[in-house]
Amino acid sequence: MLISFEQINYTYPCNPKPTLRELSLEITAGKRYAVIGQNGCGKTTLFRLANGLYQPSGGTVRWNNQPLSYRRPALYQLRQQVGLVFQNPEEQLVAATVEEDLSYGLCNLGLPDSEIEQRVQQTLKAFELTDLADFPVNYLSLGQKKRLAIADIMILRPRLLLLDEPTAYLDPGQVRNLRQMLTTIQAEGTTLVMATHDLNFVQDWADWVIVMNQGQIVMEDTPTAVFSRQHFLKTMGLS
Amino acid sequence: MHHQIDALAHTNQLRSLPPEHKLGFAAALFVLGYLAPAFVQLLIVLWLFIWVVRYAQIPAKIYLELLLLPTSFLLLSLPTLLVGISTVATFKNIEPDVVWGMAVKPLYLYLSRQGIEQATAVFTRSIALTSCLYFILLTIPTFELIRILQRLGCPPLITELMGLMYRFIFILTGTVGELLTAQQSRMGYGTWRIGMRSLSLLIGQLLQRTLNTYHQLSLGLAARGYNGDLRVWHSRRYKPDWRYATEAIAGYLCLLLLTGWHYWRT
Repeated sequence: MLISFEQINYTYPCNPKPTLRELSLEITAGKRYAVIGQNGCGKTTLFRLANGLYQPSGGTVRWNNQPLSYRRPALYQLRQQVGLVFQNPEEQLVAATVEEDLSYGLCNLGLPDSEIEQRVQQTLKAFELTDLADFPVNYLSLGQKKRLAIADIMILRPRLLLLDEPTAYLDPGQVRNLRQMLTTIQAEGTTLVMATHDLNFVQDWADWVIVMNQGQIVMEDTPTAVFSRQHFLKTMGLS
Repeated sequence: MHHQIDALAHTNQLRSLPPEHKLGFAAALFVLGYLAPAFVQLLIVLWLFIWVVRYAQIPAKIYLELLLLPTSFLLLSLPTLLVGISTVATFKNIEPDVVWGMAVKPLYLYLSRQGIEQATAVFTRSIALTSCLYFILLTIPTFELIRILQRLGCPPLITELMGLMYRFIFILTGTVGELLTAQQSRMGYGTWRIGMRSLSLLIGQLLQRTLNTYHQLSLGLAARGYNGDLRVWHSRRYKPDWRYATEAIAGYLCLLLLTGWHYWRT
């Protein structure tokens, strides 16, 4: 078991209604998971709990069968292994140029410059960003920002990659590129979990589909099984 | 205007030169421009015009517009230096200083010889020093300036704040643009009264959204392992150009000699 959620409850301070209610989920290594559900069902919150950004108000999150520790050193280690790509890449890009932004996470790990340089060059090449290495982040297109946000996380070589609405704002061509990119990432041994509204993408791409509704998991199965239950999906507002 | 300057700093033809060379050149000219006589200051203005427009390929129109901005402020302040006020009764005392004057009894307004000298000195010095600053702004991107400051030993807290502020300017102006477009698409600025209401809404929303962006960016930093230090790595892609270096050094020495010759003569 890579990561598991046991009876998780989470309530935002400004919202009296819990966002996640008694949610339990297990993610095993090597698979491609898709999380679907209406807006506000708790997908983003689930991802932020997995990355240790939020602490559940009830229940336990386990990484490698060990309960998460919310102490700083433990969180650094966790975030190196559990990468989270935000829905809006603007919220994740912090440095001035593409190259600098890629190096940010590696610098936080305290790696030597020679290794940082090697990994940055490799990642620039893998994500077709070499020509943009010295380009200012502020002038990138949204598609390029998205690609950079994924590269920023992948450079840390996480074991689990969480993608929050990766196809949002992307045109069909960029979605195709993203799909190819994800195939390569998975081939390198990374487990992928994606929250999305793009049901066509899910149907073709995922190994396992998790359906969420009002802070709970209401169904999980193979795409064929999930999408065969059209009536159920319709009641969830997902058809 | 900020984005335009920033974009030009990234795309200018002197971009590949080491930023510390450009900064050093501009700083040296700045010091000389402060001390040199007016004719040398004007030579600095002309020389930097060639560097910016010809070598860096910044459109002349944009550069002149930029120069016009501080010049207009300067021109507004010049009358206080040029025009002197005295009384008709004390005209004799100021007579040697009067270039031209007229009596508006009991006062006497006049163009001051000393004032003209002062105004010329202020004008040429300001325009020369502004040219130096524009050379820096238009040929060195902000983040490269921040890197130089880091290498010069500026406290990390200040350089990190500068870096984040630079990033935030774009996020903030982007948000303003989006809100403004959304309001304009719904006739938000049809009349003065509606416009004022829309503006107050915009300011309120901007504050709220900025705080939200700040919160999300903090989470983004945390998700990437932020440990209180915004350290990044970058490769050096600069290529010193001997042709430019020679011109800069030779030209600077000429200006220095001219300045020395001027002070030796006087």
